[in-house]
Amino acid sequence: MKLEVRNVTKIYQSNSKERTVQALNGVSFSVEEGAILGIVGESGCGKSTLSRIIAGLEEPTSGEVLISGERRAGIPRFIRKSSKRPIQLVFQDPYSSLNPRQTIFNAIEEVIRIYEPTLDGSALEARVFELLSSVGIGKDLSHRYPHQFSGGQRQRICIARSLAAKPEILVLDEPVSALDVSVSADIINLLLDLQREFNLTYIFVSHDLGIVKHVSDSIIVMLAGEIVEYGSWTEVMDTPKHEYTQRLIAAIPNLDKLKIKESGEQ
Amino acid sequence: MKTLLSVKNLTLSTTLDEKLLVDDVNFEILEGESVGIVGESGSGKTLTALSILGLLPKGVSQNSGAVTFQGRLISQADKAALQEVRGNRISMIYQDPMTSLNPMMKIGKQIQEAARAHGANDDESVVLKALADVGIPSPETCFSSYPHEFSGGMRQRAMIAMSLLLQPNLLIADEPTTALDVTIQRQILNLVNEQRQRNSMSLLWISHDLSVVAELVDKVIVMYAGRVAEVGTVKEIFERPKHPYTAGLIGSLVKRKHQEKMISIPGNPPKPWTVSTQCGFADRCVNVTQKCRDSKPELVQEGDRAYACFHPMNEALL
Amino acid sequence: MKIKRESKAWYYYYFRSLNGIVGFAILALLFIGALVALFHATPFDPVAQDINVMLKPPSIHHIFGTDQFGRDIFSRVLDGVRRSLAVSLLSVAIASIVGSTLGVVGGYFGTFLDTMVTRMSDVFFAFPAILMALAIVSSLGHSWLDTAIAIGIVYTPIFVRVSRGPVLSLKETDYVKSGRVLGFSTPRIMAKHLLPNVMPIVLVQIALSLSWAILTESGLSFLGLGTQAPDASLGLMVSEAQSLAAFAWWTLAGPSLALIFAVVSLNLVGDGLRDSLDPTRRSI
Repeated sequence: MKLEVRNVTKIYQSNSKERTVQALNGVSFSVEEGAILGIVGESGCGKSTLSRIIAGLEEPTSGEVLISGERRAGIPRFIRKSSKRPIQLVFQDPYSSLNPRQTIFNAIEEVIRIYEPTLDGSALEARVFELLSSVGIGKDLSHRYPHQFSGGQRQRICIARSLAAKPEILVLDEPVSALDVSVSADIINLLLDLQREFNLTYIFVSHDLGIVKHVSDSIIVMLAGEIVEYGSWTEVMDTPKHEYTQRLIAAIPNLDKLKIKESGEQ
Repeated sequence: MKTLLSVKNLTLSTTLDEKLLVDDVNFEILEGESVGIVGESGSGKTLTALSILGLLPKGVSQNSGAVTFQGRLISQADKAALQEVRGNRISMIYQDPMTSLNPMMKIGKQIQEAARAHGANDDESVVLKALADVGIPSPETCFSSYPHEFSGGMRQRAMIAMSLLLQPNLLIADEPTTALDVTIQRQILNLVNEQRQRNSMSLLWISHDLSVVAELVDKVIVMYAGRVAEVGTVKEIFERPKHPYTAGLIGSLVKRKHQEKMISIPGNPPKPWTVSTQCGFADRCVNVTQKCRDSKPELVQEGDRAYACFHPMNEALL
Repeated sequence: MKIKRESKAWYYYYFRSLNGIVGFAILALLFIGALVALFHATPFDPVAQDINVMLKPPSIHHIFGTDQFGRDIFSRVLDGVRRSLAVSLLSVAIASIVGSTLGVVGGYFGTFLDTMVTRMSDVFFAFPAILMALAIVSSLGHSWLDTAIAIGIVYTPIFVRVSRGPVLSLKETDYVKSGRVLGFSTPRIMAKHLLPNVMPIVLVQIALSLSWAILTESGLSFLGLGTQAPDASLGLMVSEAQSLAAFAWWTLAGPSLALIFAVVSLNLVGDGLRDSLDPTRRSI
């Protein structure tokens, strides 16, 4: 399922103050099935707005989002019946992404009932445990509530919940930014493993160029609602064309003064 | 070089139920030296910094320990002694400039107030110069503006201007760039470096980001679960980390192969009081043995290096 | 699948709040009294007159004394408590169900629906509760059902407001957004993700509204618009006691004490609920 974003523009209008904010301006790119696209930019660049539009939470003011050539369905205000959606979204804040009054078992079960409705009883239970173990959460913990888990664990649970929807495309909006450094590496490793195993397409949005560089096949750099750089990860990191990209790369704390060579790089 | 600040046996816990937060922390900052404290949640790094200036939040108390500044004891000191030191000799900047600047007061006035409080020159011209020195494009506009009218980066610059106005001997910075964009962070780091060299000031920089600290400081103190895990120069720590936690942190930073598994540390940082009788890192450590769970490793000094581990890493990382 | 709770449930905390415990205890006593009246098990018939024992002070036979018709005040108080509780329970049930539904729907969908709901509530809020209740009761009638409906209508807006506020912020939370991205139907989101998180606040409001409803009902019958003589109602008894209190203090004491206890206990229960449901306020 190839994702195509065509000339997407998003303008927010405040009806009381007659003020308009242009969050996105003519953004276009495409992602092949099974590829990882990294979107990097600083605050206000529009990357979060873009991830919400791709997932369908918002509609572009103009332009379109296509999956395999067809317009992706938006999410209407009133949904009469629960239905499947091929693009899923993992949010930044693991502390608000789970309903505090729902056990994690129920949270995942709820999704499976929609996406694999034929499962029930023990098959359903097995599937919940399978998903939880694929993200490293033991089944003996499944009847606990979100607040009983750490941030990293909660993020894993959110990932499992998104996987329960068997998505074609997974948008990850700053998935590790709210986590401790020692925990985020684990989550990144998990995400890469899952991507390989299920051949998922990732849209990885982050302000952290170091992480984006590590996970992405191709990278988009955004500034003030526009794409200023777009290419393979090696192109963007080694031969950045836009001045902002160069500034972004230069801004990463410099370990050179220690004459440290990052292994794996030439 | 003379010792500027010395923290000895600092132990903090919650006032109400005596849960251990910071456990027997020791370190020194020499005159003109820049030191970084690196740690994650529960490491106790921020509380340690706050305790230097006696700014512990309600609910946290100092059980033991002595903080000495320029030879004088300032921990548990009387208000007058602390007041003399705070802002004047030791200045502090915080993570969120919105809550550290009074939102109801114009920036210029706040800085003047700070100067006045320490009997320094509070002339407008002095403040304007300070604002210009930190790279604020139009100091007059900034002077008569409210904090919310400016971006985070600008506010942080104003905070730095306020902190440096009195030319303190030591600047403590508690994650001042964590909430800022990377390009802005770069500007602030350059600014602080520049100011430090200009005023030959000591710096204590606290961060969860080892790479930021590495760029800025001479000496690194790694804290974990309320205790000091390792101390050393940036070069030593990066090339030969002793503590497995440090090795894990640096590994995940530096040893990366595109889309390959990153070096990671499984598990989560514990709350300090849950590991007060053992090595706090035991549950996540590759070198763990029963000894690590039965007793606490003391900080072992090897010249300028120090580490608290029964089974330190032995080979070079890089 | 049996869901085993790992963390302590809210009632555990409720019974650790002093307010909650005291409130619950008093309320339980009042409920027992009301049940006694409901099953006609009061020591004396609340409306039975006995000229031989008119205006007798409290004694072993008549614990609260007798009124000007020789009726046992204690029995009348129990019956009055029964009425008060019945009216307040029904009125608050109406108000909370209708009000919360309107508030949640309006808050979630926003736009026209929300504007209509809030404007209507604003209109209702503009009138003092007792005046509105007065007006409605005058047109409806004096039975306890009419009183309950009147008070229910009057208190609906507060439930609209109390449930709408949380919904406005809850619908922006990541877990609600996740639900939408996952394709959940709107009824499902409202029932499973919004309502349970709004319930605690609504529950506290229910407890408080019950106490106000009792006062309103008493106020109405004090003014002669609620329960009519010879039926017992706390407000009516207080009204009748006005002229007698100077020389027969017990005619006022009985119903007043019952009212005070009812209102205070419900407020304490509200406090206890608030303490137990809001983790930051817990006394432990």
